[in-house]
Amino acid sequence: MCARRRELRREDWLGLARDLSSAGKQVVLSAQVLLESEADLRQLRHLIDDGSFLIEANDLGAIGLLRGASARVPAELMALQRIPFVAGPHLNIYNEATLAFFAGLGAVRWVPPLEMSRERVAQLHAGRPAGLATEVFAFGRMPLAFSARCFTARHVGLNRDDCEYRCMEHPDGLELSTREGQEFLVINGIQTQSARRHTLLAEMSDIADLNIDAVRISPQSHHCLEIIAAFAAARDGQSVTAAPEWSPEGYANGYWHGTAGINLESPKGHDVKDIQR
Amino acid sequence: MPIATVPDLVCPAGGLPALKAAVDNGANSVYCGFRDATNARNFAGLNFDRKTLAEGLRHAHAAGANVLVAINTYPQAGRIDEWHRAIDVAAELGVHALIVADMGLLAYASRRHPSLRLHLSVQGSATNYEAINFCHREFGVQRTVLPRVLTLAQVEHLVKHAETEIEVFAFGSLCVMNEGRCWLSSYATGESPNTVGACSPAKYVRWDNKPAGLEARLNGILIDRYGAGEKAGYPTLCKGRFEVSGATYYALEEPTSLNVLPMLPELARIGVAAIKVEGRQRSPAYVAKVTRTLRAALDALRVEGEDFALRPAWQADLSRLAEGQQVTLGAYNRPGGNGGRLGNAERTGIGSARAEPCRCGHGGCQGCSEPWRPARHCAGAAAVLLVAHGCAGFLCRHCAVGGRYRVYRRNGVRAPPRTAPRGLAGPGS
Repeated sequence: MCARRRELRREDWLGLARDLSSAGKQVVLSAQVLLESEADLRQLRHLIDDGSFLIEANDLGAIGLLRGASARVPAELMALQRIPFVAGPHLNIYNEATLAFFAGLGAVRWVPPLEMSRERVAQLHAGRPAGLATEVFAFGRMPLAFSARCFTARHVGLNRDDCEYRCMEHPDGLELSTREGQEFLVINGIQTQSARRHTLLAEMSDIADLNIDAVRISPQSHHCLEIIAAFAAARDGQSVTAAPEWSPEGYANGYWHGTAGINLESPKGHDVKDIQR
Repeated sequence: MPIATVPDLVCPAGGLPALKAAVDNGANSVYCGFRDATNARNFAGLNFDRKTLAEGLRHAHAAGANVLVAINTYPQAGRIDEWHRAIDVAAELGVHALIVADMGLLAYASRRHPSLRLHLSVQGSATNYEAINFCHREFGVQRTVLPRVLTLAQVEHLVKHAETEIEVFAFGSLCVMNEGRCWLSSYATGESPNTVGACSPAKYVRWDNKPAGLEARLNGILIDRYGAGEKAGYPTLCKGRFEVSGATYYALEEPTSLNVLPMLPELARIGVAAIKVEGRQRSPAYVAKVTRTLRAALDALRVEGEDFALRPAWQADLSRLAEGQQVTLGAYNRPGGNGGRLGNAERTGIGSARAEPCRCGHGGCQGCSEPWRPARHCAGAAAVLLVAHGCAGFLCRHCAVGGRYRVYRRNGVRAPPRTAPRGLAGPGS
């Protein structure tokens, strides 16, 4: 388990969530993608038992816990136990049957896998079970892969369990370039991310037309508030463009347009300037 | 003293000849898939149709072996029927089990074919017992294939708490990512294991002979460049050399193969039900050799029990078949480590073993994962120092089998190994 996860204790996270909640924000606690240790499970059990906030499940283990597993609930009650949750982007919901399955377990919102195209998202969104909201990953470095390795610690030649928190020196990760200098990926702890930020800012009017319920902005150490403001403006129909300094490595939106995720395609039929309605 | 049970040997079959090779060389089960996007090894020229699968089943059943069919990609929206048909055909032909990852498909299979055995695919990304037990309760899943990200201690903990059998990878190409949750391939090419059943698909690979060296590209992205004398490998995205903060190295994963041979007694002891060989894309000859070697080791373990001794010939055979001719114990042997980083450290050869474990994560013997205690394990002349990936690792007397592992040295990208390692290479990933 990454020791940095213990920097903020459970009570700290819940305290932050309460602060945000009392400021009028809806808080969702996103659970880990890679649950591997008993400590990971224990932490999640406590957050679920606390019950104050919606949990986003990104692993079947979280689903199992949400279903009241671990012999804490008598078997005959299991079918009745439906704690509402968000089905995260790493639950691998690629089709209508799986979407219906998670909705049946109590999902109130789902996030498609990042690699899913607009066409497929639109198709699943249109046919979604009643009461289920759809959220799309719309800005930020894409979490492309997860490993038991800490690539940051490995880069500096340290053990994962004795890492001196070296990742704190690189809040947005360490850039990984090809041998001809193409800025390609970013290693950040156990995650491998895209170097280019994914952005659907120019597609916001289309996303609004699709009646997608929410878009997700992945935080970064700089410009975060400007990015949020830009998406809020785009949602309200204003014409906005992504500033180059928000992503010096450039932008990508290929997944949304059905091509390689690294590509940057021009939005079809919806020029940025047309957003004004 | 003989032991009661050893893990089943599950071997890959990319086609009928490989299936026969696996069965004839002692596999308890073979796993295979259909010739379409329903299986996660959807490579051109590979896999089965109804006719070849039926023939494979006849051959396997005659030898008392089982056939497992992997229908382990994620059906794409609006195309679920193709996956349902694959499940129905496999069930109709009487396969032993289906290997499935998608929740919707597990629900379909358990409802439509309630007596058919279900295994949770490695693509299902189950790394904890809550995930496994959920699939057991919901769908009656009877076996789980673990992603290659857990330590041996974590596997043991899982076996204790899981309500399904546990299958682990034993040999073959090493994936260090949590399988089923890796989009690196589609980021570069638009196609991923989850969507089309292939990682870094061959149709996107291009080789260019340039003055700087032989370049391997994936959809135009330079994955690696090989100098004269360097052995080029398939440009699987995560196994290329990249630059991070001025250092060029295998930043994600080295082109090594997993080999758990030295851990077989431990895997049997903790109750792992089956060990799996990766490689449905490999040749029948490869499958035959790996199967024969692991069968011999498992049979010896059954007979010898606690007296089981690793034969150097087995390790040598497997190392020759390994990717880059290097093998590793992978995450199983990771006492908090990360896998070594190829590169800068220049350390010593035989005779200068340090009392302190190096910081690479080699807490102990790389063979049996016993903590490194000079007095107890690696004392004296039998201790073998392995210089790999810029850091020193050790094999205890037991695993070194009389010091027959060759010591080798490797110094970053400028000096690739001239001598292929015969023994265990590199720290755990």
